[in-house]
Amino acid sequence: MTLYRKQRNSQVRIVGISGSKPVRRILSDLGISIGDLVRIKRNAPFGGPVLIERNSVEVALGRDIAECILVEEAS
Amino acid sequence: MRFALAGQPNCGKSTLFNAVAGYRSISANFPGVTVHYTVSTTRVDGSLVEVVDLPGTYSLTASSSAESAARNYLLREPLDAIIHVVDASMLARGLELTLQLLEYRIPMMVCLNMMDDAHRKGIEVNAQQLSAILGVPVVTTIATKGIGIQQLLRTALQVAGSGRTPDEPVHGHKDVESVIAALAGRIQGEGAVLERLPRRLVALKLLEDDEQVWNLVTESERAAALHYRQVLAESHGRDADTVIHAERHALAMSISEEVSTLSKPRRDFRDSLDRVLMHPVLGYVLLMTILYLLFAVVFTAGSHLETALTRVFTLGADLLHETLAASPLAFAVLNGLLQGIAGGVTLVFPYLIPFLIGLAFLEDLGYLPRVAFLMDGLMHRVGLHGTSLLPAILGYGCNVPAVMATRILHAPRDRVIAAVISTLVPCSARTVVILGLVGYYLGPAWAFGLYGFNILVVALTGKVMSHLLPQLTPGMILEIPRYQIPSMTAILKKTWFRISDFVMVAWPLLIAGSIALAIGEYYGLNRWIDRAFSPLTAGVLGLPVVVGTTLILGILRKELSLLMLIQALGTANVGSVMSPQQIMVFTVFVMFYLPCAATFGVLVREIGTRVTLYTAAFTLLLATAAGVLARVLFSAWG
Repeated sequence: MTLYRKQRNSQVRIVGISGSKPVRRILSDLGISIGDLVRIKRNAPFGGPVLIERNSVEVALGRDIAECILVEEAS
Repeated sequence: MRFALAGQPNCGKSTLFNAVAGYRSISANFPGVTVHYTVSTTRVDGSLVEVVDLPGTYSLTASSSAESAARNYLLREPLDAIIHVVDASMLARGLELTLQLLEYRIPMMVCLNMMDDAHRKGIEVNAQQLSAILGVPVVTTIATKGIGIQQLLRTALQVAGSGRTPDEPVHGHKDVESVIAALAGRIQGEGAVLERLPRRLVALKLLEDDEQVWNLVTESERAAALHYRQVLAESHGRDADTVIHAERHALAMSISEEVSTLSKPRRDFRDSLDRVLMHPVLGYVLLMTILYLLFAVVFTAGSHLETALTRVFTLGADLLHETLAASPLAFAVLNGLLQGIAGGVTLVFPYLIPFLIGLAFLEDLGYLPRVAFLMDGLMHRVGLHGTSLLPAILGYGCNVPAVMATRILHAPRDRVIAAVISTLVPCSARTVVILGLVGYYLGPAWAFGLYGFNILVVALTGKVMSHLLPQLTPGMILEIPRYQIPSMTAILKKTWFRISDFVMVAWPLLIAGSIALAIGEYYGLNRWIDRAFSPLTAGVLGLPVVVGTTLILGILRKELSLLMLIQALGTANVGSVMSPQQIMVFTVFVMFYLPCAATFGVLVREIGTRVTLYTAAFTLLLATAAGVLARVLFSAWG
């Protein structure tokens, strides 16, 4: 499953990023890579972005970006 | 001596720069604010030092033009020391840049900033230990409070003076390191740029698939690079650049964990603020409220000041008329001077200052990226990303930094659309016209309505442009910074800095234009220009013919449209000479037509001459169409 529309306050682990190379690069620059544990803070309405948090850094990811990031549940 | 300040966005680099070099750099709590570098010369402990504030970059892999700018500076310009600023509360992420900077083998020191925020989050960082691991001095600071700055500067001078380059960079896993070392061994490094770079850095860049370095190396070096990329890809099952990035990522994390101790964070109101401000329902309600409040405050403060000050200047004008009734030319010139001064004082300052203060407050608070978060979903309906909203919001202040801020967007197509939209948004100069004319003579409700109409037009333009440029671009990836309590001094300093552009450049231009117009009128020159434009001004738009010269001068600076109008009409009481319909048509036209001269300049630089000319033609057509529409709709007023 992807990062999009996960439950608020759930924790997930990133297992894959299927976006283009530039996208993967930008994500890795912001500290989001495969194997990282992130927390879903909130989802914006109207098909908007998802706000994730990792190591006290908050990043908003647009829908299409979030849908490229494959995750699995983590507690 | 030359120092460069390098660091990730929002690490407090610009605040530090201002503390060191005097308020020269705009700092604000959202990413992408510093997109070009600022230089300042200052005296530190008796020595003359040049300090360069590089754009904030998450890394040096050149994925955006801000990063290219920073990289190019580091690759090509001679530097005595790098002061690398890191947000202590986000050490793991900051270290990714640190590790890259160390590779450049330039004398360097680390400034661990925002120690107060780290403390509040329950993070304690052992600076000595970090220094031992990295092999460079580490100084702790709280830039906003001015703590640690002296120590920082002293250390920087020591580092630059000693000329000691950082030790061999921190190493990751053996297998990856051996590949890097092997490739480094094959680098000859010939050529002006390459010979100054450490071999290991060149090897790393080649493994990371860096285009710029690729173009600089020889055929045999490229062959070696391809070979070793293959080696890495095979042994790790992923692309070579991914492997390098993952190594760095892991290293940054492990160092950060080693030097930090975590304890329970101290919660404060900022954490709960987002629960409300980013709430799926309340968030939007509050957004509308905040925007309305901003408008209300600016308009109320502004119109009161405008009335009071206009009275003063009208008295002055009358006095002048009496004393100089005998020499009309002298009167014309002095009256022009007076009008020019009056324009700045009575029209621009009352509205500009409250607006800039409000904008600075929201910027420093960190609210603007949250606006992008809330609006992204809706903006997709018009083919735009939420991030495009940030340059557009800056556009309400001035179009020039707004167009430059489009660099935070990664795709060129997004940048073009955002740049065009930013110029359609009414900048503070046009706000002066909107509030000073429509707001003052027709009422605030109409002025507010004009802003709404403008947003509609902008949204429509965005939609049309995204159909014309249908590329699919990746969506929003935006860091949402933590809230900062804006400091009044920072806000006032920043407002002064932006106003000083008006005071130093626009106001003299205004006065000069005013005098020129007065003289032109005296010698009857203006009549020719007005006649030339009368098909448009009087014919299509139904405006007084004298408006012709005003609009031409308005291209220089938008405030001139109103101020020259007063000059041309011969009275500050515009309402007595122009009907409500004409006022509306004039304002609507001015709101859209042609970017000002300064904006033209940045547009050419950011999106190219051809697109800029198309944009200019488009705005002219749009302004005329909107003007005609206004003329027709408000014919009852005419």
